[in-house]
Parts: sequence; structure tokens; C-alpha cells
Amino acid sequence: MKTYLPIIGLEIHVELRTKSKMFCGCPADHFGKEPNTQTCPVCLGLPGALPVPNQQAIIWTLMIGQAFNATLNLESKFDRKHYFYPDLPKGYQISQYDEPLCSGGVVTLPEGVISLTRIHLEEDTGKLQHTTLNGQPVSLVDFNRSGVPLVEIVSEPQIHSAATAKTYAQTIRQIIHFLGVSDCDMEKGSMRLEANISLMSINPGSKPQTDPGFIRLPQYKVEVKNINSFRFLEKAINAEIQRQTAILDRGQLPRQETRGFTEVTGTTKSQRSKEAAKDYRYFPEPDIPPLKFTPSQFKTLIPQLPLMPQAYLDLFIKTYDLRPDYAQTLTASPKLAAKSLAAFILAQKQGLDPAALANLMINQKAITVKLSPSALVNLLQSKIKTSQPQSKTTTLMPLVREVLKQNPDLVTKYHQGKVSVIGALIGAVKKLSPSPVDPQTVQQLLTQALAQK
Amino acid sequence: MRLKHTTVISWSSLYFEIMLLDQSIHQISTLLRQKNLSSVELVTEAYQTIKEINPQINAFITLVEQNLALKQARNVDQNRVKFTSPLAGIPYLLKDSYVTQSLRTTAASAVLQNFIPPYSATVYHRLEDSGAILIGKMNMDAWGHGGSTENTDFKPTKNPYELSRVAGGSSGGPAAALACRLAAFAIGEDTGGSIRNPAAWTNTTGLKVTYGRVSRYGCIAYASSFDTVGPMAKTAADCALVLKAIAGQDPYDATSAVQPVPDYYQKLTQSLKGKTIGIPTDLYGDGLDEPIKTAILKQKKVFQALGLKLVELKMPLLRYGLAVYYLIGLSETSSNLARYDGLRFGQDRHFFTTETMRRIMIGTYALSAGYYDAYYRQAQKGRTLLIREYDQAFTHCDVLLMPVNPISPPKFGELIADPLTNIMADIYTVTQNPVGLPSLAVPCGFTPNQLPIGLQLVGQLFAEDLLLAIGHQYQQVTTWHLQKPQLL
Amino acid sequence: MSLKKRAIIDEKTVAYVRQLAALNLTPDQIKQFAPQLSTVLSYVAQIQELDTKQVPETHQVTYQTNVFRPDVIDTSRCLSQAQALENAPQTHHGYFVVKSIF
Repeated sequence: MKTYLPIIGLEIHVELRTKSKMFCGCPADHFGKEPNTQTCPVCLGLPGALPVPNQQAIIWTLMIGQAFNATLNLESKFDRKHYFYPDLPKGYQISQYDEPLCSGGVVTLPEGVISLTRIHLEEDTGKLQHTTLNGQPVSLVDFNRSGVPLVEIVSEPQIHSAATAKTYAQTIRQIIHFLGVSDCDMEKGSMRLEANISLMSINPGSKPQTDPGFIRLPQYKVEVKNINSFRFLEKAINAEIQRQTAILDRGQLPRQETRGFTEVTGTTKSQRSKEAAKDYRYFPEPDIPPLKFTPSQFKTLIPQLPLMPQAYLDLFIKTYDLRPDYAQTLTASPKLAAKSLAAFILAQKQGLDPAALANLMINQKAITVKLSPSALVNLLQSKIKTSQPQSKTTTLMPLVREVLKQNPDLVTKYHQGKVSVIGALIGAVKKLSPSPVDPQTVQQLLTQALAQK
Repeated sequence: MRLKHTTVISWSSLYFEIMLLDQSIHQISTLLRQKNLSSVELVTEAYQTIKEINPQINAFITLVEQNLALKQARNVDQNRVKFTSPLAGIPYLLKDSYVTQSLRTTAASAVLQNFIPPYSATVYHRLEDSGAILIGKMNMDAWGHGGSTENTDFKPTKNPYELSRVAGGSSGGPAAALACRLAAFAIGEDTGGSIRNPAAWTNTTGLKVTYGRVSRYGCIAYASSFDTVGPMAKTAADCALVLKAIAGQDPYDATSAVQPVPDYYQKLTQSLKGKTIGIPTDLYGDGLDEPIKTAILKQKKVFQALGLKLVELKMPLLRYGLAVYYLIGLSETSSNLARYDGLRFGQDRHFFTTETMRRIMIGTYALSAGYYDAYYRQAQKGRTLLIREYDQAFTHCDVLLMPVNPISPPKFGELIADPLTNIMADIYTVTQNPVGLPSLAVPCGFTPNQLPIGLQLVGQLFAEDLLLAIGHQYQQVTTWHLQKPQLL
Repeated sequence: MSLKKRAIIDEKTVAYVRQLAALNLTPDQIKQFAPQLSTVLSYVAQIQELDTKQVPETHQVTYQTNVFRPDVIDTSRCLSQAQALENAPQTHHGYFVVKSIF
């Protein structure tokens, strides 16, 4: 039995949430609209129509590049990518070929760092729906989505497991979501995943060399499309690894092709019709003058990046003393993270423990989810006052910590074996608390806290 | 003049029997403003002439309904004060490569035989705003693919000077119609000579503008980085009035120029003293018909009399112009024509003519993997060399005097019989488009067989005002442009 | 023109390019096109005589850069569903209909 190292690269498409489309003034918000009600000569590819690029989309693509530490290219251009498909009205897609807006970049994962190849801007296609009309199989085409700005983020083939691929994709989603430039809604299709997968044979026992500079990539590559969730990404990659392993084990080479993931069967299926001939005949889009920037133009053009998820996590854990898992939960979305941060700042100002507030937000989500930061702080305050007696660890723990901080000598004595000092400490907590407290709970909490010291 | 429907008008207290549309736009516009003439009369004359002449030359693809045009004419007549443009109330023609809302637009191809656009080109809007009255969509080589208006799915346009000969192309329809005074002016489209070539072969005046000078929005693309929208008329002065109305930046065309639009008409009389005309002698050698060469070089004296200096120079690299033009132009056309799949509009791709299919095939080949560097990329580098060649020439002169066509209008079938002959006919008009330069074609003589000859004046980017001034002052002292076909 | 530079397009190449260009050529047309395209390409192959080692490409002659539009909805150009569909050969409930592509 041979062993194989999966070589995986991801292409992630993200629709930008600009008001208007990429090259015309039609509304970009296409989800759930009546078919073909948001088109114009440009995005319908009518004779004589010409594209004019949306500045906001360009700025946002550069912002994404900056968030991933990519190189923002001083010179860039749009190109035409040619293929025939009924959802592509002009017979070509305006995309970027050899001079993308951003090159390189990195995505930092717990498993390590994945390098990006490029980040470029293009236009989305229309949408196809397959059905039967008068007994004939047909495709219905809606061009509302045609021309919506689409950013493509391409990774190097540095991912070696389905799980890492999933984490990578989730991280990308989170960062872009925090930038506020896309809804990144997989269900609505505003984020789409494609995986390029191949397997490299490795000698059993030897340590696989995973540096792309040293490994020779397999002679084939299978592109998997139609992946509509992170879970399916993992499933599709695993299914593909299994399929390719079987082929390689038979001594054959998997065919280089595009395959679609089928949710029902959990397997991938060849999409030969999409392949006809992959000779895209890229050439510079003559209808759009090239892009040229200076570093100082980038500075004025690109707004300051908002706090990224990692920065929130660092703040929550290091500055506000949150449990790491709670910190994670509260950075699930940019809205929640920003609200939490605002609430923590406010809480601290009023002498309340942000960690306590975090506990409240998570344990009583149903009540707190819709509250503003100040309402949250008020709620916390009222909880402390009304608890008769105070027994909630969430509100007492800060007081306990405060008392330990104020009485270092007692703490030392406790650690030297004089366990009886605990009584004095309980008294101190009682004194500090605005409302009556349950001495037993306080004793428990003190013991706990002292054990950590 | 054989026309029966001449109109008697009072003009400078004299009475003339006159064909209204034979007058300059300035004259017509003055008469209209003074209410000595109505737009209704003008439009009526146009339709009468069209009825008589068009069956002989087949210049129209779609004739605007007369009632519709008359309605617009009445509107202009009744609201004269509102329309300040000299083009107000004046009938004009569009090459059928411009989309017009609710009016069939075909690009002379069966693919668009029944295409009714839901929007209009910017150039149409500008003329509509100025009060000009569109009366027809004109014949052309399908998609601009040709120089004879034989590659049309609506039967070739005939040369009014000799009906057995081609009118040139691709803007053959508008050129032939103007030669017959079927309207006051037309909007052509020039990708590699499509305005200048038919203008020269029909004894009319045509201006290929600087790339971007006029918006291409709504102009059915042939080769996007070459296509230009320009005026065709009887004289350079008329072209100046039309250009002023249509030029300028357009937010719907990212390649339209931001340069301010001068008053070309005012500048027609600018002093030409000290300006130099360059004559690239290598363009007057083999391949150029003797009568054409003689006719053009004879004009040197006329230009000198206008105060212009002459200098001879060489431009050897221009001989690569055809290759550059064909490779880039056809690459771009193979892309621009990819949208015609018959799904959203039009008929499917097998309705392309053989010539168009050949051009798509060559362009596709030049862009395809393995050939891109040798053909497309090399042509784009060759294009840079053409730009340098012209830059170099313009260090010696202000404008260049060149032939338009190497031959006189051929008989039907002669040109399209062989793809290579077809290509060679464009030799003098294809080098300006890759560089973006403006060029004015004006009548300058007739062959012994009484076929028109044109010359072209090529200028630097945005030098339309100088070209038109030279053309105008030349036409003040010559009469070639006043000649009309026997047909009239 | 030297023989070396003669671009010869055989019928196989014509058939391949035809597919890329989505043109339905008949076998007769393919046969016809092969020599015709060869003639034209042999002529334009003279471009290869040019020494372009140090020469950059020129893709367009606008001499402009960064021509953008603000992110504003422009309803003046939007088409109604009826307008969008009016030239289509087949439609169904607001959709364009095409032969199934699967």
C-alpha cells in the first residue's frame, strides 16, 4: 500500500456588497429578485455596450489584499477571458489575468501559514436553472447576477487535509466578513468554494516534504465545484481523496478534469460539458484603460482596516480576561465583536468585570442578543443588585479577584498553610459587594482562585 | 439637375432653383434660423430624393418612417428657439452600426436582422439633443468587416459614380447616400479606413477622429481599441459642425477622451502659415495606381498656395501596418462577436457571412495557446513601433499627406474574390487606427474614367481642428468636392 | 516570403479553432478555410520580421489610467424585464430559455 499526500489549493469567490454592479449602474443586490429585472445593456451584453469599472469594488479588493498582507500592485489591468456558456452574456468574462490587483499574501491558521497566489477582481455570471419545458430539458437563464463584482482569492497548493481546507476557508470568510465588503453568505452564493485536489505519492516512513519549492506537484489536478458549505468542502475533498487514492492504487492516473460535488451522494461527478476546450484566449480588455497607482494613492484610497478577528480575540482574552472559547464565540461576526468590545469598554468604566459581562452575554443569549452595549451593562448591574443573595459566579468572581489583589499578605499566608485566613477574605468580599452574598459560594470561588495563583 | 421636386426659396433676395441638401450645413442652418426654410421642407426633399435614388444605389438598410421624421421636423420648426445647434432640423444618417432604441439595428448582418435595440448610442443621443433628424440606418460591410460594402447581408451598395462598382466600405451606405445628397451628413465608423475609404470613392469628405474623441457607447464593436465614431459630409466645414456636436467625454465609455472639445467651425479659418505637410515618399511607390498618385501629388501646389510648407520623409515601418491591424483587429473582433449566440437577441452564429467567419477564425487563432506570442503579442509590440514611427514623422511636420486607396473603386466581386487582395486595399488607412491618430479624407480629383479620388491628411492626436482647417481652406480653393454623380 | 515563416493551417487546426470560436463550419467550409486562412496568416506573419526584443506592447491608445465610475445605482439605463427579454427567441416566466446544457 502506498501513502499519498493530498495537495490542495482553494479558489474562493466572494461577491462584493457594492450598491451597483462591477461595470454598470444596475443594483448589485440580486438575491431573491424577479428574474431579469436588474439588467441593462452592459450586463446583458447587448451590442455596443461598454464596461466602466466601479471604483468601490477596486478599493475593496485592495482592502482585502491589505488584510491578507498581499502586495498591492502599482500596475494592474482587466483582461477578457473567453469561453462560451449561456450564463456568460458577452462570450467572455472581464477578469484579471497576469496583472491582478493583489499578489501573494498569507492566511494564518492554527495549523500553520497558507500562502496566497493572488487576489483579483472580476464580474459574476448570470444564473442557470435546469428544468423541463414541454418535455424538453432546458436551462433558464437569469442575468440579475451578471456583472456583480466578484473577488477571487487563490491559494497556493499548500493545504494537505480536508480539515485544514475547511479552517482556511472559514478564516478567509471571517476576515472578509469583518472587512464589511461582502456578506459571505454561502447559502445565497455570495461566497463560493472550489478546490483543486491531487495526490502525491510518498514513500512510507519518510517525512513528507511539503515546501512547494521542493516538491514536484502531481501531473494532474482535479477541480471540484458546486461546494455550498464548509461541511461539504470537507466532505468533497475527502471523497475526492478517496476516489483518487483508489485510481492511483490501481496504478492509473486520475484524469485532469472538473468535477461537481453532489450533496445527496456525498461524491463528486465529472462535469465534462464545462470543459470543452480550456483555451481562454485572455487578452487585455481594450474597453478599460489600465490601472496605475502610487503608494501614496493607495494610502488615500484605501480606508483604514477595521479590527480583524484576531485583534478582537487578543483584546478579549488578554485585556478583558475572557475565556478563550467565549472570546471565540463573541467574535463570530463583526457586528457581535464590535458590540462586545463596546460593552466591555463601558463595563470597565463603570467598575464592572467585562468577563462577567461576556458570561452574561453567552449564558443568557436569548435575552442579551438584541441589547445595545449600554443596555447590556445596565442589565449586568441590575443582576448584581437584585441577586438575593449573590450567588452567580459570573458577578462574584471579579470581586474575589479584587479582594485577592488587595490582600496579598493574606494570600501569602493562605499559601503558607494558614487556611483559616479564608474567613477574613470572605468578609472582605462581603464588604466589597453591593448586594448580599452567599458565603459558601464566595468560599468556593476563593478556593478556586487561590488554587490558580 | 434632373430632380423635379426642386424647391424655390428666397435667398439673398435672389431666386434660385436649388437642391436644399446640396447646400452646406451652415447655409441650411442659417436659412432655418431665419425661417426662410422649414425643417419639414428639408426632410420632405430628403425622402423624395431617397425614393428616386436609393433603389439605384441601395444605401439604406432601414429607412425611418417618413411620418416620424416629419413629426420631429415639425417639432424643431415649432420650437426653433429651444434648439440652438446648427444641426437642428437637419436630416442625417447613421451607419447601421449604431444602436437606436426601437429602430432596427443590424450591423448589416443577418445575425441582427430583426434586432430592435432597447437603448440608443451616445452619438444618437447627442444628435437628438441638438435637434438633428435621423432618417436612415445605412448599409455597410457586416460588422465593419470589409472595404466595399459587399460583405453585407442586405445587398451591396453601389457607387453612384458608376453603378457597376463598389461604393467602398465599410461605411459605403452613408458615403453613397451623401454623394447623392440624400441627407446633410452621416455618422460613420472607422476601424481601419471605414470612413475614409468610401468617402474617397464617392467624392465625399470623411473624418476619422482621434481614438476616444467621440464616445463609442452604443457603437457595435468591430475592434474595440481601433473603433472610432466620426462625421461624414460633403465638406470639411460640415464635418466640423457635426464633430462639435458629437465629441466629448462620456461616462458610459471609459475610453472616451477628457480633452475639451474646441469649436472646430471657428477654427476652420485659423492661419496655416508655418505649418508643414509631410509626404512619406515610400507610400507613393509600387501598388499605388498612377492616376491616384498623380492626382494627389498635384495638390502639393494647392497646399503651398495655402501657406503650408512641404517636406518629404520616409516611414518604412508603415508596411507592417496591415499585419498589425489585421492581427489585433481580428483578435478583438473574434472576442467582440462572441456575444452573438442567438440566446438573448439575434440569430445564431451560423448566420455570420463567410468573410466574418474567416475574420473570427483568424482572430481566434492569433489569440489561442501556442500562437499568442507569435501573433497577438508580436502585433501589439509592432503597434508600439508604429506609434514611434509616427512620432518620429511628426518631429518633421504637422500633418501627413497620404493616399486613401491604392486603387479606384473596383467592380463588384473583384475585391472579395481573393482574401489577400481584399486586405491590400486597406494598406493606407489601417496604420492610423492602431496609433489612434485622426485623419481627414477629402476629394482631390477624378480618374480618366471619372471615378473619384481622395487624399488623406493625418494629424497628431486631437489635431482634428488643424486637419479640418486645412481641409476647409483646401476646399475653398478647389471644386472637386462640389462635383456630383451623373445620377442626380 | 521565406518558407519558414509560412503559416500553414491544416484542416485539423481549422477544426480546433472553429470549436474555440463556436462556429459551425461544414466540412466543405473547413476544407475551404484551411488554404484561405493560411494565405492570410502567411501574409501577416511578416510581423515576425520585426525586432521587438526591447519593445513593450501597446494594448490601447487612450493614454488614460484609472477611469472609474462611483458606486451609484443608475436606473436610467436599467431595462424592464419585458425590454430585457423582447429580442429573445424563447422565454419562460421572465427567464431566457436555452437548450439544456447538461
